[in-house]
Amino acid sequence: MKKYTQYLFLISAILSLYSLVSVEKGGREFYPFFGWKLFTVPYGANELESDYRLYAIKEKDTIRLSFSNDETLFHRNQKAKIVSYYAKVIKNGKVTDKDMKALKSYAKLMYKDADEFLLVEEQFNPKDLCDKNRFSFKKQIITSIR
Amino acid sequence: MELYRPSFYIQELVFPIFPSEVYYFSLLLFAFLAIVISVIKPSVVLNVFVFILLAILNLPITAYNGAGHNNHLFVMVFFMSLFLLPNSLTSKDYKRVEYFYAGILLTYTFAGLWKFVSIGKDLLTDNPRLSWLDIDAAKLNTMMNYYFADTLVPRIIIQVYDFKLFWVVTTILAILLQTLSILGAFNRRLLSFTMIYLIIFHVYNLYFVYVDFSHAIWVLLVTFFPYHIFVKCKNIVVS
Repeated sequence: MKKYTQYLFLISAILSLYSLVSVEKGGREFYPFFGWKLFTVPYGANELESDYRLYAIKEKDTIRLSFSNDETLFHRNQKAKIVSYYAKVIKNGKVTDKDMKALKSYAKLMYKDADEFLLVEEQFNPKDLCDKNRFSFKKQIITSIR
Repeated sequence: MELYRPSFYIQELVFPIFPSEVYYFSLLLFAFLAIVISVIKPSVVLNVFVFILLAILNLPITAYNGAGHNNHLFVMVFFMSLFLLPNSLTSKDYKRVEYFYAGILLTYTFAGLWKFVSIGKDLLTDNPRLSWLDIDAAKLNTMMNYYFADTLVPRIIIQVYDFKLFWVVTTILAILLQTLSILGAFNRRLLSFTMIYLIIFHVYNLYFVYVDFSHAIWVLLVTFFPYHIFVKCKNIVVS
């Protein structure tokens, strides 16, 4: 049976190539377990990057909820994925009541006693991160959650 | 939990909702037992069983609205070694083991190769997008990853990036070595070097890119460790 190892290698190579091509074409990754973070260009290579954050409003004070703050419930990567997923669903107009309920319960987990939450898109030029000590981003409110 | 959203077809099958602790731990127990039995009495069927269980167990870890690739290397080692049974390997079977190494290292080679393809494309098409060749590429990558994690970049890391030319050369060299990883599979000495290089690469990512691939370091160390230097066996070259 051990000779089949080389066929495994071949299968793995073919499936990886197929995945590479299909991802490049904007499709789903076909070969789920053995993919890798590709980083074909440096992160932030585009002139304008979008990012999504939740803001909590509490007695006229607005608090930007950071991903790295308190990672007991969710890892920072998971938080980023959750927030950007709902932001994109809302922007595409495909949002359901169930999504909004899920987003609200997530927000409540992140900041318990807020009066209101804002889901905000932040746009900025990544080069500013490198070159300047401070930088500004354009904010656009996507939705408000009460 | 309502935030849980499976993104693979396998996930929808095995974990349509977030798994309860009892369900998850019983799967863990099964996997543990299967591994113990496969150590005592190795068989291909058991290997397949272990591989499927470990693959499934790794699914819900990154199942919130999109899959990460956590632990993929770990699962892959079990996939590539399905047909390698320690009790039936002799020294002339080393060829098979080389394919096992090659299968794992291929992921690194592809990742490196694709960076070269992308660099080539950028050079040819006059894209305004930054490529790995640009002077601040590595620094930008670091700054962005920390920024998206809402974490301050340690001062020392920013200072290290002051050596601009050094980073351009290092980046290209790193991508080149990454692409050549697969050659290590066919030469034991080169394999040890590849292992050391890839571990350094992951340690860099851990601190400079703030991406946690620490599991990969352990997998590389266990899989590619030059055991033959320390353990002399008569009949068995590989372990």
